[in-house]
Amino acid sequence: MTDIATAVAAHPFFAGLDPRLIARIVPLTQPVEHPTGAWIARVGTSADQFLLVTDGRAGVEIASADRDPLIVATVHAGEVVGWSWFVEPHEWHFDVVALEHVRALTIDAPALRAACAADHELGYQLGTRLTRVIASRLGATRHQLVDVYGRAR
Amino acid sequence: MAALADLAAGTLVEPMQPEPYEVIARVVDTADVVTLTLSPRGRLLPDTLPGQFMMLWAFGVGEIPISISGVGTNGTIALTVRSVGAVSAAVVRSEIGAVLGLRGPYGTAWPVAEGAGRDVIVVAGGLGLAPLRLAIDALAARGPLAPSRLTVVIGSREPAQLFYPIDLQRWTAAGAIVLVTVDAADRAWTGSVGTATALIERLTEPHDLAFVCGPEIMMTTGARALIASGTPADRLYVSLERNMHCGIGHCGRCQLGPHLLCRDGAVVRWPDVAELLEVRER
Repeated sequence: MTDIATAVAAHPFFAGLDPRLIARIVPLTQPVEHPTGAWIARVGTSADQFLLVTDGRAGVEIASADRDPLIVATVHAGEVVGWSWFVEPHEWHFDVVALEHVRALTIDAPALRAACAADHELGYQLGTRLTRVIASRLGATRHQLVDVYGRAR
Repeated sequence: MAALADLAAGTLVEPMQPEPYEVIARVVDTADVVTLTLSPRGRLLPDTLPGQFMMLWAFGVGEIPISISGVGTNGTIALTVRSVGAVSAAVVRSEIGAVLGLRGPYGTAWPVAEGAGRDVIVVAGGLGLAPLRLAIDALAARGPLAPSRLTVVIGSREPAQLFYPIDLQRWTAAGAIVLVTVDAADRAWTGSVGTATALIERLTEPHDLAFVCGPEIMMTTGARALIASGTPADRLYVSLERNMHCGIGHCGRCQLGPHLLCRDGAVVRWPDVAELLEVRER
């Protein structure tokens, strides 16, 4: 296996994925690095990359003109940055910034979507895994909304 | 007969009678939380164990249960109190030199000795760090009872709401893995952002023993995450609060199912209360 194939197979997001499907993903994948402070994604721009973090820490950030930017989640090694690339209109809904030097695998999102359309087993596997990520973050968001550390009402 | 002997010796202890303690130090932790150090002005109360609580009197106002967050020399006791009602507000307003009433200590303790040689995780949410503080101190102390590894996970609403920052540094220096996460932060924050449960889920290795204290939603989701990662349920302990009133298991106000939490808790084994926490109380 190439280094990239090894890295893709080793990433927790793809744990247990059939090697045949890993082989479809590998040609679409490249290593990438984002130095501290660099933008990984900007809200409203095209989500044309699927990023799997292998080292470092990224922050999902909300900004508006009337307040300082607020980080609402951090993404760490072994996790993925977002699902906007998978869901129409394929635009980022949040800014993502490298809070520490980020090393990642980046997958060509349009090509991966086409591969999913051509191979429904690949599409099902990615859809299932992304749903798990979405469900986990939705659960976390609900608990943040409840403000569990605030006073009981 | 023991009561008569105590009466003759002048050592009879009336369990509902508070002892006077003077505020000798006052640290403002956050806008509505202070840590008071109290020194005995009368009878010295018995030694405390990590996780136990005191009944704290603001004379003329009322009495509330407060977890013990520290002990010092000459019988001094530290209590961390958030202003949420009339009594706690009066306590939080107490300045150095004020006299409050204490009785206790009450309740069960964190089974710190079970951690000897084991991989231990302590999870604290918000002010839930206060009842765990003495337990972490004990676990972080090097010695024959030390755990093989100690991980401390702390969740908070925001960086400004974190308690005991010096302790976090001290525990890290003692070899503990201290991981802190907040619900939201600016870029100056160097830790995680997200829930404590999400942080637990990031730790893929199982732990042998777990102590969890914080809001019940956090404890429930955190306990489930710990068990999912392989931590044995019967070595998972949580600290529960209800309306502790007498502190000695008589009045029943702190009942949770078959448990009187002032006597059978606050520290309880997770399997003994897990189903009870699913019951809606209002």
